[in-house]
Formats: sequence, structure tokens, C-alpha cells
Amino acid sequence: MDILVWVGLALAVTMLAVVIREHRPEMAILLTLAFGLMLFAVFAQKLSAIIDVMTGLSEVAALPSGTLMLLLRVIGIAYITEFAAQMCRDAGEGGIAQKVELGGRLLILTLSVPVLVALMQLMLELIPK
Amino acid sequence: MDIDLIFKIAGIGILVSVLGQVLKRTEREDIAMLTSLAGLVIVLLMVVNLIAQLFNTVKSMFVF
Repeated sequence: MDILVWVGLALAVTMLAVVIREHRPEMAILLTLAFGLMLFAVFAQKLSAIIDVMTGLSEVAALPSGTLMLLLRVIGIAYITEFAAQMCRDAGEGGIAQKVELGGRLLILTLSVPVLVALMQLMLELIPK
Repeated sequence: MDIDLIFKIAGIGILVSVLGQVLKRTEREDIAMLTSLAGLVIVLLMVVNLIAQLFNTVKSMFVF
């Protein structure tokens, strides 16, 4: 049932943005940004419930706690980067969007390097000398 | 779900563009420029609060 509310709102705000974009493009950008942020606030509650389930499952599976933290952090970075990059693209700034995405990728890479190294060491041990 | 904020922003946007057109017709370009700037600043202040809220939720949820 919720999805109908969000879809209806999204269409209404899109219409408003089109009307405003003709005279005031900067207002249209701010309108879409505000709606995006507001929608994320709504999704945040549902998302945090899912994250709690994931942490519960990871404890049951006795995963090392660092991996789930890392995974959550990577998801957070990916989401924020994609949000900002899309906002920049909507405003017509493809260049800035590209730089933001590059920054996001770099951050995720630096976060995941330790896991990669651990994997490599594990592989080396498996290979018989 | 502060949906009224979105419609407030849309209202300001439309109001500012109408005001700008009216002021342009009566040869007051500078005042039109000022009103559009004022509208922009008001909307920016509103959106800044939303952005701060987003960053806090993300920070708390994704364990930054």
C-alpha cells in the first residue's frame, strides 16, 4: 500500500519540478533534492529493520564482526555516492558526478583492501609447497 | 513524512518566478534579481536541514 503513496508523490513532484524548471531551474533542482532526501528518510526506518536482521543473522553464523561492519560501510558509501552523483547529473554537471563516483570507488577500494589481502594469504596457504 | 515541506518549496519556486516576471515587465530588473535570490536562499535553508538529517541517519545506520 505504501508504494502507491510514494509513486503518487513522486509523479506530483516531477510535475512540479517540470513547471518550475522552465522559469527557475535552480529551484527545480532543490525541489528534487528535497524530495529525494525526504523519501530516503521514509525508507531509512525500513532499511534499519533489515540491517538489524542482517546483524542478527551474522551473529548466528558466527561471522567475524568486522566483515558485516565493512559491508554496511561499503553499502553506505555506495548509496551516498550514487545519490550525490545522480543529483549532479540531474543538474547537468556530468563532470562533477564522475568525480564523486571516482571518489566513492576509491573509498570502497581502500576499505576492502584488507579483506583482499586476507583472501590472498589464505589462497597461498592452500597451495601445497 | 514532512510532505508539506516539498509543497512549500514548490510554492516558493512558483511565487518567485511569477514575481520575477511581473517585476521584469515593470522594468525593475534588479528587484526581480533580488527576489529570486531571496527565494533561493529560503529554499536552501530548508534543504540544508534535510541534508543534515540525511547524513545523520546514514551515519547512524551504516556505522560510519
